[in-house]
Amino acid sequence: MSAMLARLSAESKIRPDASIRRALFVAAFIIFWVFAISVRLVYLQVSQHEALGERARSQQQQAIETSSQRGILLDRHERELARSIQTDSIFIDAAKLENAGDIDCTAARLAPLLAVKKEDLQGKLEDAKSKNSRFVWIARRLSAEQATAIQGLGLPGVNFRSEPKRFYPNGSIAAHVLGFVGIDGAGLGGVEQFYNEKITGEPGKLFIERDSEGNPYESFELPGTPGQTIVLTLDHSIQFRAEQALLAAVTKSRAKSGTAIVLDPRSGEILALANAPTFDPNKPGEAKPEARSNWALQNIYEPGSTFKIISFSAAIEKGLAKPDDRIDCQMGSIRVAGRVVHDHHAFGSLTITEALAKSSNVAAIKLGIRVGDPTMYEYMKRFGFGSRTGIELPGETAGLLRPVSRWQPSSIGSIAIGQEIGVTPLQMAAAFGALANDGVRVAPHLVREVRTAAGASVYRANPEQRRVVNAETARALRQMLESVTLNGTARLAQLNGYSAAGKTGTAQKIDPKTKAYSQTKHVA
Amino acid sequence: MNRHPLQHQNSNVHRERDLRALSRLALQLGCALALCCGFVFAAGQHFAAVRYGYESETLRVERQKLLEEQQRLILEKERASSPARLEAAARQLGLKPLQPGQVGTRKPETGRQLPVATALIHRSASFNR
Repeated sequence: MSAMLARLSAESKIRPDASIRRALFVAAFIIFWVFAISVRLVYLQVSQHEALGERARSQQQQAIETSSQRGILLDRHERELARSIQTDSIFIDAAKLENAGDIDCTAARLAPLLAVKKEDLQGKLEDAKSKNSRFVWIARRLSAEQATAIQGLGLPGVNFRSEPKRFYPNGSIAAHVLGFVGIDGAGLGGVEQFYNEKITGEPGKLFIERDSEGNPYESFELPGTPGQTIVLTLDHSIQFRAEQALLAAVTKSRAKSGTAIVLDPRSGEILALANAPTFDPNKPGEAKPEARSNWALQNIYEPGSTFKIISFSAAIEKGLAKPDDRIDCQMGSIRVAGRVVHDHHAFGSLTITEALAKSSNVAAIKLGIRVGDPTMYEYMKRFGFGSRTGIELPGETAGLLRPVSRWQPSSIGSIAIGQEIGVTPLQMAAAFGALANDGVRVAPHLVREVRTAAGASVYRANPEQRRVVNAETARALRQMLESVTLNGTARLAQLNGYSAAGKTGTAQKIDPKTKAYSQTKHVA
Repeated sequence: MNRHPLQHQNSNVHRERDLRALSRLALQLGCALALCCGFVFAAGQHFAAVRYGYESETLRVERQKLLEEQQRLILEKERASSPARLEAAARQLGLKPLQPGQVGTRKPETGRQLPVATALIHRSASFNR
């Protein structure tokens, strides 16, 4: 600029004055113009930066919260037990429904595709129109066929939104372990509920730039954190077989319900946990509440004769009895603090092994009395009764185990044969597992590993292990329990090709009307 | 401003070619051309960016769709290989469930190590207690 003025000044000697004035006027005008533009730019870009930026973003940018992908549930062989996939949901923008004719037409065309009554849908649309709502859910998580058919209709005001839906590819298999999710995608039962936070992950955000016609031309995504993958200890083939066998047994015995647990005693891993009745986690709403209840750990029952392993273990470990010792079963009757307890058969003298095989109540009570109340209580605690196992499922109960101070004089006679105590099937399975594992009780668990979506391991199961009885006692009990299946009350449990050990147990249920033991209702 | 002489025959006047003005004009023209080229280049870049934006957006949507399709296919595969479906399919083929007596373990032969606990679907391999 200064060079130009100098040149103009130098040329002023040969140019007329009017030219210089005109040039100066133009220069001044340009300077003023540039200055005015600069001032305006500074004003817009500094003072109005936030407001204008926000206005532009609202006009051009769309921020969508992307729902995080819920983690996958796998069995021990990495077979998928639960997975989420994106599905379409539809909502109505009532502002786009011009008149009653539009509402009627929309309801008439949508109703058959959604399998709902036209009147119900029409009422919903009219309600949305009366409130002038711009977002009212019509149907959520449609099947791909439904979504395609509705998209093809091109109905005004009907908009789509993508939402994840949880699928359980094996149907009802392991339903009580896996649990299910609600309409908002939160876990409402089983592992889905217990690990909901880990499985859910964190949602992300997608910013989309749109042109004047609303077409997206640029996007930027703040990725969320996908949910973690849970690897369970279940084997879905064993689970399937366990459920089949349980259903057959429940049907055959006309029982109201049943539970089966397959546990690896060395690792504490649960290979199968089945309940009957069961439900399909893909359609949890169609099941009765009792079908969704996990009987294996949420309900307690009197274990009956299966509990005799406690008094027998305690007596053998304390040296108060040996498997070959003989015990007088008093021809099937014993009186304990005024209460008479009978055997199902009148047994005379039996070895300890035979007494367990034939499930003699008299022998169990006599051993319980020999052991004494405090020791009996100590062994029950050692075997894990009266405490939660810590399994990774919601709603586990600790069972019912009263401290010795609250025992009646006759309690030892009842507890030795599995009465006056409440246990869960899972506690009982863990107790038998301890005997199978040379006296070491490994806490039963369902989760092997937790991984990030990228596959990095963030948790590996390291279950608590503790010695319950010494190895010799456990071995002696194992042999005695084998004799139960060979010569005793559990001969039906013999396996062709395999050795088997176990203990039968039948307990009378409390009749809610009489508040006394029922003669017709049992837990076995 | 007075001219001397007042009457002058302009047709006889020959203006000298001003080389400085020419060079100045050429310089200005060059600068203007460079500026224009810059503007054209910038506009080209802008429109290319917009075009790539549309293309990348289309690809993002396509990728999303493909990922969703992949998830659906994985789910279908898992459904198809669920034990209940496999059992039904096996029964249709005339296969029967394995019985406990049909499963046994073969002791490894000397010199030829077999996998541990090889299941043999053969009645002769079973043993009874």
